[in-house]
Amino acid sequence: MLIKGIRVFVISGMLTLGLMLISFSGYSFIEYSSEYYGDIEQPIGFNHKVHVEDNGMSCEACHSQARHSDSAGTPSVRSCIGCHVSIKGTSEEQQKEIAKITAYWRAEEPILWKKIHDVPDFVKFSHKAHLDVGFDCSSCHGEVSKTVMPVPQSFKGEIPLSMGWCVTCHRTDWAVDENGKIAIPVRETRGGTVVAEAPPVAGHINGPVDCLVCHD
Amino acid sequence: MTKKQKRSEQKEAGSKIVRRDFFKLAAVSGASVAVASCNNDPVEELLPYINPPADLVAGKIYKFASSCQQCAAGCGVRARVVDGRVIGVEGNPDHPINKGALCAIGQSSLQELYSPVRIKSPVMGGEADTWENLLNSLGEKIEQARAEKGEAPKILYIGPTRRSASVDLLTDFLKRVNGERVFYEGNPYRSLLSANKDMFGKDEVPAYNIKKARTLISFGADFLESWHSVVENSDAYGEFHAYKDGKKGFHAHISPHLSLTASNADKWVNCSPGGEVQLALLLTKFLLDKSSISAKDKKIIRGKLSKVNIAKGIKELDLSMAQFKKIANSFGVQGHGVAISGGVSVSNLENASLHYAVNMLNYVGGALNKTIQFGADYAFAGSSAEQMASVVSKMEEGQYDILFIHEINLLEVLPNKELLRKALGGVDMVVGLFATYNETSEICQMLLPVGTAFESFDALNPKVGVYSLQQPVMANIPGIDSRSFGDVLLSLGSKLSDAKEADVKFATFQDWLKAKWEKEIYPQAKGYLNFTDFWHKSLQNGGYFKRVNPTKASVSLSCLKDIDLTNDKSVKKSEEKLKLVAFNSNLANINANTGNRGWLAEIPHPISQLTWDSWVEMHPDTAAKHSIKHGDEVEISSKQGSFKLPAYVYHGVNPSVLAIPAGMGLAMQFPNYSARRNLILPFTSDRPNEMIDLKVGKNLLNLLPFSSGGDDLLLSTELNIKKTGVKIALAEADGQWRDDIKALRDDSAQYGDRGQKGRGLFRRASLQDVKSGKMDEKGHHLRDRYYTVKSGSPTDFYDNVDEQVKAENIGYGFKPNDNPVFHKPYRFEMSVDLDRCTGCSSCIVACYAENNIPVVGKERFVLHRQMSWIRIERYFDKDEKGEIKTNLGPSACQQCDNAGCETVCPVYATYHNPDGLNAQVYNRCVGTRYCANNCIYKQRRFNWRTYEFPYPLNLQLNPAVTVRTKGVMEKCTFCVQRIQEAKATAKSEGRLVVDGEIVTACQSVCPTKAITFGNGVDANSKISQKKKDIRGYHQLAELNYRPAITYLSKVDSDEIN
Repeated sequence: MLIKGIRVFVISGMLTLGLMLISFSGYSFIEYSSEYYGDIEQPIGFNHKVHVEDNGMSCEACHSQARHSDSAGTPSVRSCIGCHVSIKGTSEEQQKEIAKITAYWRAEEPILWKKIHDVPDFVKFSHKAHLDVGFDCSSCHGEVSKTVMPVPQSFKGEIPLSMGWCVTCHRTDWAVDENGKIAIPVRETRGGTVVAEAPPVAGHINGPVDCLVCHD
Repeated sequence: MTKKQKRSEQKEAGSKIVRRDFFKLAAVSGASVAVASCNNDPVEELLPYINPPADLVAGKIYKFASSCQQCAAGCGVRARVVDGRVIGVEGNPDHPINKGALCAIGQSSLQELYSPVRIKSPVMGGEADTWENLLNSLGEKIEQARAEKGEAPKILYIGPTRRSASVDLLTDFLKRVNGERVFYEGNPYRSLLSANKDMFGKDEVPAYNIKKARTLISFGADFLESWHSVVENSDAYGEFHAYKDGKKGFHAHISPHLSLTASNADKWVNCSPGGEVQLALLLTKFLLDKSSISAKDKKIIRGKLSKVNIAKGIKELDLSMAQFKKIANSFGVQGHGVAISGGVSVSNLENASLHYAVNMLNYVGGALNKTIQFGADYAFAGSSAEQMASVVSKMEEGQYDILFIHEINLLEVLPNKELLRKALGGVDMVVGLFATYNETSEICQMLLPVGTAFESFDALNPKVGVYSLQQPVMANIPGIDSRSFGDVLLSLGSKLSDAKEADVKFATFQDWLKAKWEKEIYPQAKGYLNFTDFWHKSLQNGGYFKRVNPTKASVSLSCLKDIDLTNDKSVKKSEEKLKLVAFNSNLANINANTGNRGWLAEIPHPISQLTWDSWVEMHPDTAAKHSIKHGDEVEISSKQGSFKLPAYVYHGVNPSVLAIPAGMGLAMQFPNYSARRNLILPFTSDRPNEMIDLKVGKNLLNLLPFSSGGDDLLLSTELNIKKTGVKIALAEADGQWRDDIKALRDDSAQYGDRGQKGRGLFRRASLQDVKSGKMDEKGHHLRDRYYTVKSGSPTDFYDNVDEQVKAENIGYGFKPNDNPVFHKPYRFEMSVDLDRCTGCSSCIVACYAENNIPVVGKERFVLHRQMSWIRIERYFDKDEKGEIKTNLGPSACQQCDNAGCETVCPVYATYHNPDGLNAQVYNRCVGTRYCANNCIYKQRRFNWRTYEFPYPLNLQLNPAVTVRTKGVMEKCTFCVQRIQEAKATAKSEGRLVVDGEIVTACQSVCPTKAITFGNGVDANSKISQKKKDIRGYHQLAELNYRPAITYLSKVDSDEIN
């Protein structure tokens, strides 16, 4: 009788637990399992290396909003076709991918790129603010220019985009160069004009650590 | 075996297996939860433009000037547009009517744009069709109607009262097809027009120059809520009524019901219906002798007023002779006074001659052509009730082949639904031109979705000299195929056999409008390069505005012969029958265009503090007579019909009447949170709640007959009430202490004490005290008393303490110069001038829109789970003379420097930021609710569930503010996203934020400029000046929370007392 009681207890416990499992974890499992990173396939095989490293384009040539807005901006179909109306690619592979842009432009459809560098929706990150103090794109995005097709794993080790990683940098007392800006390498391709215009800062500067700056 | 033994044995034998397994399983499940929900964010998509607009910056808020179409006042708005969608509307500061402010209904037009019940495509007979098909068949139908013989028009248009370019186009169109048009307006402007025409020779709604006046008497006119140009009036009222340089305007209001306007008045005269006319006549008679009008006119008026007895009349109105004389004398100074009559509460038989009596008073009192000016010609007056009745009877007779109903919820704005349904049945084809589904759209054979004001071009001409442009500020919402009203008319015109050159020439209504402006408006303007320059600048400014001088009105008293001014009706008070008084508010009015807007349903009516329902207001004496208690359901019946409503018992209504809000009873779709609350799976955007149809309140027009004849719809009838025995859970925001109701002996209706219980939250000061600089803490003797919830008195939270204890504790251990927190360079602070605040609730809507605040619904509101971050608190307190005063004002998080919430948060989700804000980090909050328990101002709101914004309402969400989910505490942070934006701009420009750079959402829309916001560390800022004001005080200062909101006391006018 005692054993039977235990068995009932165990079974009912397992059942409850199973239900709990389904209700807590199963939900999001079912919904999103196919969409985790790693399976990312971009609509067009865009090659950052060819554009930036090989042909010397600047990041802001395409991500033109970075200096003006919180968002860096995804290039519009028009800005792609602007060059690729004449640049048709050298290899067969390139020509195939470039032809896709023409197809999007003709069909008047937006290109749905997959987001690689993503912070949660409750985080506000301003590209403008970071560029204003002299950071380079690669400081947070890694060497995208050397990567053919960036996927999240390529940066996860060094650039986790986690809050601890953000705050470590914000707490650092950055030395200031003669421009009054943070003395970290600034890519030539990005140009240094705005940095020169900015007002000088005495001593060192560091980022704010007030929660409300990023979470509001 | 006892239970205890059994359990311990089980434990010994089974615990090893069960617990071990449990932990194993728990570990596995824990890991899976972590994998599923934390590390792996779903991959998001980046959606680029195909062909972006030039110079567009992503994520930046662009402001576009446009116009509001919610009423005929024609305010200018600025739509805040980010990434191609409107997220907020505020007033256009360059606009001469609203000068940067906007009312609650105007802002809620966003919820019309993003309504979940938008009509998605043209509909014929219940089935979706294409525009081309329907316009073709409609064109054929019009041709048929035109071909029929007979002079009488076969086509009828019913629409809202507007003076706009699209109405001009409509007029042209109807002329071509021999159509008739009727414009609906529920407020009684027509009778005002008749009176003005008869007496002053001006067939128009005048401008009231409140700013210049010293004494204002409103006869039922709720000019701060729905009568006349509300935002314009509120702005002027702020200047007129606010304390400035030792002076303050005096405002008296007479009506049977305490409207918001009445609650702002220095003296509310509570009368039975008809008392309004009586007071106007008494004042006229009193002022007649001293008046500067001609002797001839004096003689006529004296003859007319021979039966008026001042002493008797005053007694009937419960006024003392001294009070009456003070009102009269201050009104009688040439150019000082202004009397305004109107509002739905005077749409009754007793006040039939009110506008004549008040016109006479304005003439005798010297207000005419000084504070009352003609020449502006406001576009408020629609078609008369007589005309409306005649088209309804013609519809019934089957005279019309086609009826266009444009943005008028016809079934809900006229009485006698059966008659209306029958009449609509007599029309061959009813074509609805609506943006959203409503009661009337249900019965239309053909539905053409017209765009809202945010999606269409138009130009309003609300008064002479104001040409207000309206431009589309966003593209059509995906999935909604609407066209602007003007475009529909143009394309319909081109389908007709006599398609004019104009129809073909202009491809869009925009082109038509431009051509019209080039021909009509551009020649009036000076200083522009060419028309294109003029057009672009007008679009940027919100229109073209020019100054127009008022025209002088001359008086003819011959009309008085036929007017019955004796007004015996009000004298014999009918004790037997209760009369109906309808009233409008800032949130709903007789024109019934506020359905399906969650914000307006959830924001409490500022006086009753009720939401999500309509109610019947009754005097405690009436309630006692019928043994009704506050919150009881009563059945209200008239000859025409009956319905059940909860009783709201308070003193703000005359014992001879029952007051019911107008414009309620509208259908609304709302997520059905309650029906699926027991399901395990959470609701997400992929798995939303189903929507259910609600009816918010009851429509009082169901109690009324369709009275044909006359200028305006009469809203008067006699009512019977009967208690049903059911108790209703009122969705009341009024958080009064319910236990004390029993303690009040004289309160048989159990409506309780709605006072501040000695706390002095919203204070009043006498003009004398403010002038002399001797402000004592009247009604709030903090140093003498201790706060206790065990107070012996039901109306006071404070106990007296004896002298010795008082002496020992004086100062409560803190000195005025203590600074618990050091701030540099900013401490953001706010001040609220209670002398300016009218309680219009505009700030609340602005806050809902700016901060993504969800609407929770009636069921959760009853449990006080509303989410509003700013509220209008309302208290009724007795002054020293026993007269009940309404004290109200906005209340938001006070951003205390010595806050109770911060110290108790176990996870540092709330903390004090260097700028003096009580920060609230939503992603850090675990929902212990300790902070809310420790907030003395009750400003924290907890998300009891993940509230929904059903598509397309989610498109309105502000991307700068996190959308909170279940289990998170939230509150006002002085629009921190705006603060951060300004600080970032200042930082990149290498400077500090300048005064006035940050404008909070509530501040930006306030019609009376009651709210000031700025940096309190900067000694020269406006807020620092306000803090020095002698009227300034902090709420509950004795608790030493160091709030950042400084309230400035309301000042009692000394004109009457």
